[in-house]
Amino acid sequence: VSPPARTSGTGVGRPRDTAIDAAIDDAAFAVLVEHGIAGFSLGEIARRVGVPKSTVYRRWGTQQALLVHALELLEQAQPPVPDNGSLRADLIALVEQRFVEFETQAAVTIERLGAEAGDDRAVLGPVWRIGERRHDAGRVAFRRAVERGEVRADLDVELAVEFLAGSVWTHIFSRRPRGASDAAAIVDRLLHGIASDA
Amino acid sequence: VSETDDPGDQAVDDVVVDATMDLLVARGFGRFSLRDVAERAGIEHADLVRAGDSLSDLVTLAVTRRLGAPRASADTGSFRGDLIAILTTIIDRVQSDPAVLNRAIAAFSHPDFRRGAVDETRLRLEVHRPAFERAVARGELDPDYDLQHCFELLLATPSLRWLEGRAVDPADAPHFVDLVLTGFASGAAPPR
Repeated sequence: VSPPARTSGTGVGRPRDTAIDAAIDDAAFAVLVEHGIAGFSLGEIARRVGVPKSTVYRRWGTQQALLVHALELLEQAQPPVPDNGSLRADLIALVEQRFVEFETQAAVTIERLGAEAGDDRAVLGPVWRIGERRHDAGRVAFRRAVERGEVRADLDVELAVEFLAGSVWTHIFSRRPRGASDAAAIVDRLLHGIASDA
Repeated sequence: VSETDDPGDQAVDDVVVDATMDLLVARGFGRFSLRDVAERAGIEHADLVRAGDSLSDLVTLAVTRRLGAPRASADTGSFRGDLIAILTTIIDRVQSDPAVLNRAIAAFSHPDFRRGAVDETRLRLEVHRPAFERAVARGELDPDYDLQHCFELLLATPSLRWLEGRAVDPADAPHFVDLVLTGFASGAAPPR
């Protein structure tokens, strides 16, 4: 996972070196993923970029402001919703995406940030928006499935979206294998449940 | 932390466990160390380190003690009823103690804490196996069921809500269980 292209700036005064802006973005994103909130420091970011810490301060003013920006970069890095023609295929693709995120630590970073944030709304806001974007991917897949008649008419889509996302987490938590066949097995259990057909 | 029955050791253990749980609530995971635990417990850091416990082990032990021994749920006469009873108990227990909830959240997001939490959780869930065996005997569950898979689904939605900082209403347990039993594909309906 890497940060998306830079889209905004907050500085004032003379035109800034956009190459340094981009390098700060990359470094902030990397430090956040690697060290979480507790290890997020302007000094470390400046060291990676190869500029004095004052250069980073001039652009962002406070560590908190850059932290929130890095969280937003993490949010923008979320992948698009796949459309594979069936709910089963869409869900397998979504689960596989989450497995990849987990391997790259991006997913864990987001949850860790939430756990570390305490009551800090400036941090929690972007973290919650990331969660919502993930849920949006599930919502889109389920709405397509409703139109195709692939799900029960009485299905609570919001609950199904949570069930999907939570199942991925509990699977990851249990330290089970995370390959393509595992994604398919998870989705099949979600689709058909565990009750006997007898 | 010792495993002896010596009352003196037990008293020290209790102080260490309480200090660990207090820090878990006050600061959250990743924001305290063994040294902080020793300071809060009023013992020497070296004594705590000599006991051989890592912070992860200490937290797992503290939470296990706080939770107490797991208890099997009563037979409600149906698999659906048993699952609702089990899930309701788990939701109530986790949400009744901020330290337990913090630890549950951190176990997902901190690799250091996940291993101990997974092993401990597996042991605790085994106590519910009789409910699954009853379901097999009644023809409500296939004999080749996987207990861990079943609990991955049963705990999926509550776990997600806890991770996202939301509370779980125990009254929602029947909705969660119905999805676990029948899934959401068309052609199936929740058992009543």
